[in-house]
Amino acid sequence: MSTQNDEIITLHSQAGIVVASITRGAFRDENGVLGALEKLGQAMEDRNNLRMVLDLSVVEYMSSAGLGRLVACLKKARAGGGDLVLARVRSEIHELLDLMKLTQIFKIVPTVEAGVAALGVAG
Amino acid sequence: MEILADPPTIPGQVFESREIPSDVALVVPLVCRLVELLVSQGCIAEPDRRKVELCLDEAVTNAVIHGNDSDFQKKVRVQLFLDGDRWGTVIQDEGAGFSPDVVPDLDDDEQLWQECGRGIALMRLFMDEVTYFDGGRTILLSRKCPGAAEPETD
Repeated sequence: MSTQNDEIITLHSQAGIVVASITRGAFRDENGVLGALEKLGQAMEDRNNLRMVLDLSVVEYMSSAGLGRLVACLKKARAGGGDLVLARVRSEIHELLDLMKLTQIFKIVPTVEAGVAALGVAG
Repeated sequence: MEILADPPTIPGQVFESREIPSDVALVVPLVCRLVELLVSQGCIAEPDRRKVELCLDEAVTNAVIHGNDSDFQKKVRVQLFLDGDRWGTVIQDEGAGFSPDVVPDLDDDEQLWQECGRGIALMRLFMDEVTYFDGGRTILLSRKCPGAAEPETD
């Protein structure tokens, strides 16, 4: 998973960590956030020791379906011995994660660099 | 969570009725239109707009996907009503209803890793009333209008 671009999510490597960025935060359906998270989950299938930072900076809206797909991605990462960190989470999405107690299972950092550093140290 | 057997009696005055076939692609346009109407009626203050949008999205999406099993022949009907100092919506599908037993209890920390079941929890957080009727085929959501007194708590 070196460098890969498509319409709704971009992936690149930074210091051995995969950085994924959702690009269409304003689209709420499968053409935007939901589709990006689904694609991400598929890309994480059966990958060992995958360490990933997910940049959510453009994501303004997330439904329960999006939260569920985020959890699915985290489960896949952990199942393979890796981890997933959320970066640049907007306040409204952070509030949602908090209300749903998902801040108990997700590590959330303010910048992509902080995420890369956290995963690098951990790995 | 209790699901009442009978259909609801819609309180107050219905000011909008819409119907869509069960296609998830139609949910966002419908919800955006409903929210615009609610804003224009003074039912939602701007800071709460996103929360209401989320609740309507959850309710209509549930009706389309879980209620009607995305069967295009089956319709989802949405009504908006005003009842004194509160507004509400009644959303009906044509599915088989559901049992409350299938909804995970997200207060249980062991359920944090569930990938579904948060829609109802979100609606309960952001709306004043969330009640299922007609065996789960109909949901009624309501909320105080801006400036109305806060609902009393037990």
